[in-house]
Amino acid sequence: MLQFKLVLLGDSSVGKSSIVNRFVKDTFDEFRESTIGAAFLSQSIKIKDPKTNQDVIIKFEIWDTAGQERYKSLAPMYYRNANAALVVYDITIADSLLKAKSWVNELKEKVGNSTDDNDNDNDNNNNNNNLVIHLVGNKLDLVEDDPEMRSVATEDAVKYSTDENLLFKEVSAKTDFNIKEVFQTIGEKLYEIRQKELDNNNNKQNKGEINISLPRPSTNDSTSCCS
Amino acid sequence: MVNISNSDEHKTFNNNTTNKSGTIRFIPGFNSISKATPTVSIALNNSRGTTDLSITAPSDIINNNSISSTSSHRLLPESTKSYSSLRDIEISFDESLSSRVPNKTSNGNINEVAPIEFTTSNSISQNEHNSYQEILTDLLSESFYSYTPSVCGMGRCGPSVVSNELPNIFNKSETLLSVNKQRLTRFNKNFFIISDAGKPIFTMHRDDKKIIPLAGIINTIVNYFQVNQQAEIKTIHFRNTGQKFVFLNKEHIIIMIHSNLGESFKILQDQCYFLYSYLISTLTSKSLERLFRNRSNFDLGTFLAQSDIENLNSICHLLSNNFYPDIFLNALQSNPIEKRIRNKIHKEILQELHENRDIIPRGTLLYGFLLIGEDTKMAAVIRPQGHTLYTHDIQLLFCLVRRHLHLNTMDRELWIPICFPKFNSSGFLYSYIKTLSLKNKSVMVLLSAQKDAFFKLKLFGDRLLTRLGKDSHIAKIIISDNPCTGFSIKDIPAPLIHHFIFKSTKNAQYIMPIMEYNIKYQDVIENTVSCNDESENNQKYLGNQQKDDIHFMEDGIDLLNYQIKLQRYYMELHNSVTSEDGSKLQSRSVINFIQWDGITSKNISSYGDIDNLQSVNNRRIHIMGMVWCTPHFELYLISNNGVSDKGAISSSAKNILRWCQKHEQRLFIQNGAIF
Ligand SMILES: Nc1nc2c(ncn2[C@@H]2O[C@H](COP(=O)(O)OP(=O)(O)OP(=O)(O)O)[C@@H](O)[C@H]2O)c(=O)[nH]1
Ligand SMILES: [Mg+2]
Repeated sequence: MLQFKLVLLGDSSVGKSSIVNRFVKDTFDEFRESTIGAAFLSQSIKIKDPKTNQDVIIKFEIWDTAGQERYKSLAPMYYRNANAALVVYDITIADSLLKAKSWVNELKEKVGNSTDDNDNDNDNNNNNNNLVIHLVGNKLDLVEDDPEMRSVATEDAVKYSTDENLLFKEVSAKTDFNIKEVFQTIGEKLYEIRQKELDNNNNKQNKGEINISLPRPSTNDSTSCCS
Repeated sequence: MVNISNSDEHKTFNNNTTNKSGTIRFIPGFNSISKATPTVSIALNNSRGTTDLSITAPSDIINNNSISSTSSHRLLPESTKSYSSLRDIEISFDESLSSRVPNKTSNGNINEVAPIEFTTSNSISQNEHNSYQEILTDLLSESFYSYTPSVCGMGRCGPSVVSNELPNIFNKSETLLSVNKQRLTRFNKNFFIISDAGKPIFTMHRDDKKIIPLAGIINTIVNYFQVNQQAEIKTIHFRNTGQKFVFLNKEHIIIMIHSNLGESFKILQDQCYFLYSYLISTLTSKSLERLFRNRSNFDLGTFLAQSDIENLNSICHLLSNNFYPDIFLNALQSNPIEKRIRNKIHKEILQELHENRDIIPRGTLLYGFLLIGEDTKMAAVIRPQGHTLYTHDIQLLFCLVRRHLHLNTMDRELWIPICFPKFNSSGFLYSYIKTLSLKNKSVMVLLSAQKDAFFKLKLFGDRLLTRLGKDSHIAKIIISDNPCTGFSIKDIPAPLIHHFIFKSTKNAQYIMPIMEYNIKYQDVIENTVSCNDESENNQKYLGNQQKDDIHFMEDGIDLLNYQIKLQRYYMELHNSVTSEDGSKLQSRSVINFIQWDGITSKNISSYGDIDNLQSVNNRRIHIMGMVWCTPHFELYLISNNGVSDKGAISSSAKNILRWCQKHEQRLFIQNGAIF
């Protein structure tokens, strides 16, 4: 089993908690409370190893963060060690895409540059350079009912995602459209990255190079890829 | 009579010094624009002339309803400065108004026995409770006397029946939730938070059209006293309706509670402060200050998140239509657990902490709780040597936990910044909250001052749970879905007692038996009162005493109604031994009995119209309550309906005391796991 950390970011009420809830519990609440602080959940999925075609279990440890501005200062703590980020906006609210873009910028700036990030531990060398960012436009069901409600054109979001090299999908937590797929894609991508790293390491070791990766902090789970 | 007290110290009224005394008059008048809108004006008279503040409000303000109005207020002249040192104001209430105000609408009558007070030495050890009992018995034997018959007249009412039901003797609309849930709180209690610039921030029942003028009125009243008296208004009391308005004026924030539910000023002030503390707990005083700095007009209402509004709402519900004795007791509820098991839990916690110093170094964990039940009863406490958190702060934390239990967030672990106003109002602590069993409603809470300690606490918590789970006794209590904790009133040799609260002052904790209420009681009232055969009726009541008719904790309106009744009874007991401003007991001990008399009838709404009721439709209610406070404990109890024998009640009270003291270690958390 492989374990990855995933963080959800995005403006308040774009549907982060709803997406997580759909993914973890397969339920949807019409009236979901705004998150305070952050909630931590986990859920496992199965993917297929593209080479061996064997099932691989991937466990996501998920941070569902609060979108409210005043919890913003807490965000670094959640994304610092993340392997993947789900940046969510609401396709009926144009502003929420701006917010999403600013999250993407912050992630690229802060997480890409791991030397900035040394207040914590010896974990700087984790694969944050390979942070997988998935942009998600939520509440697709609303525009299906009433196309007038759309405020963010799909093409715009697609273009932005391509430019920034992000994964992208429009989803609906309410109707369960594309939710599983998003996590599946992220899982596969993370697995691919992990395999590549292992290959690289093996190659280096084969060439007699020293593996310089720093020890990870101890956890109770030896299979954990990072903690 | 209406009285306004605006002094910090709540001095006695009539603090008249020459030239500086004044009278405030509430004069109901009619606004020239709308005849239907009477004006309440506050007039200050003194030798130098009159100043007045007039507020126009519909009669709601004066009768039972929430203040709702369009306001036209004016602050009058500078001459009022002469009042600056006036500390207490006597206010007379224009008689013409009282005739328009319905009398205190209570279906029952409180027949309060004068408090019996006695002083004892301050050092009463646990073993000395025998001497207490002697004193108690002596006192009681002196104070036996017969009561005046109930208000409704003995002859008319059916015989009272000893039963385990807890009837409601208070005005139904005041205390009971009807189908239309809104009514109770809407008209009997409301909470307002406004900014000191008069901007509405929160009200329990959002009605945006009304809140704005209302915020204006509240702000005007507060300002009036600040400007003219250089004093803070604290309370307004309409004596003939029992209506109270209590103000809390903090920097930038004004909180007002309006209530008809009979709480003392002290309790309402504490509640104001509790709401204020919530704001601090979610924002910190520092950021509150920052938000308002240079922007006195800042709109905090829109800044607060929906979750804050709902947290505030749930707190308001807790404080108005629920059973929440924690605040007036200033204590936390403990979950009774067999002494051996509780000790084991604490020992295991310490052991786990000790073994995990590498993952959770000193200073990471600040405090911890294991809580059980919807009402967050403490099963275990983890705390550092020499430190305790304030009860007030913990109450805020537990309110948050309650909320999450309610929201059913079992599947997620939470990491929530919370500021403890009394501990440190300018910074956050971080709480790790994990639900252990949703059915059992058990929760683990671990606090840290470090915002990135989540994984350390989580790992520790996981390991701790694994360890605790290995002990089947502990697992049964904490993790299992079938809680086997708590005790029933039947476990105690306390005949005729319906329910009680026992607070241990030393531990700042209280306990009470699990709630067993007679769900059929409502049906009895609604359905059998029309039955003409009285004896048959009685048989039904008595039949209800049988065990299988008693329903344990069930969700829904019945339980809530039951809790509201309990709250009201206990509130009155509490009030009977405290003065309005909350000063009480300190070194004194008090015993007091209250007897509530009344009738229940089908025509419950036509209270006061007793003549129209047929005797067959009536059933006498005769409930006696007793409160016994010493520096070491507080005991509040409610007898079964129909019991009026003080001797029997006090001997049961003694038994409860004896039982609580004998089982002290089981009932209360003495130290907890101290590291
Ligand atoms: N129609 C529709 N409504 C949705 C969808 N997803 C979420 N919502 C609603 O949007 C509101 C906000 O959803 P949340 O999941 O609480 O939003 P959030 O991003 O977690 O908000 P914060 O916790 O404040 O950051 C809720 O009332 C949801 O019911 C969706 O796919 N379709
Ligand atoms: Mg959320």
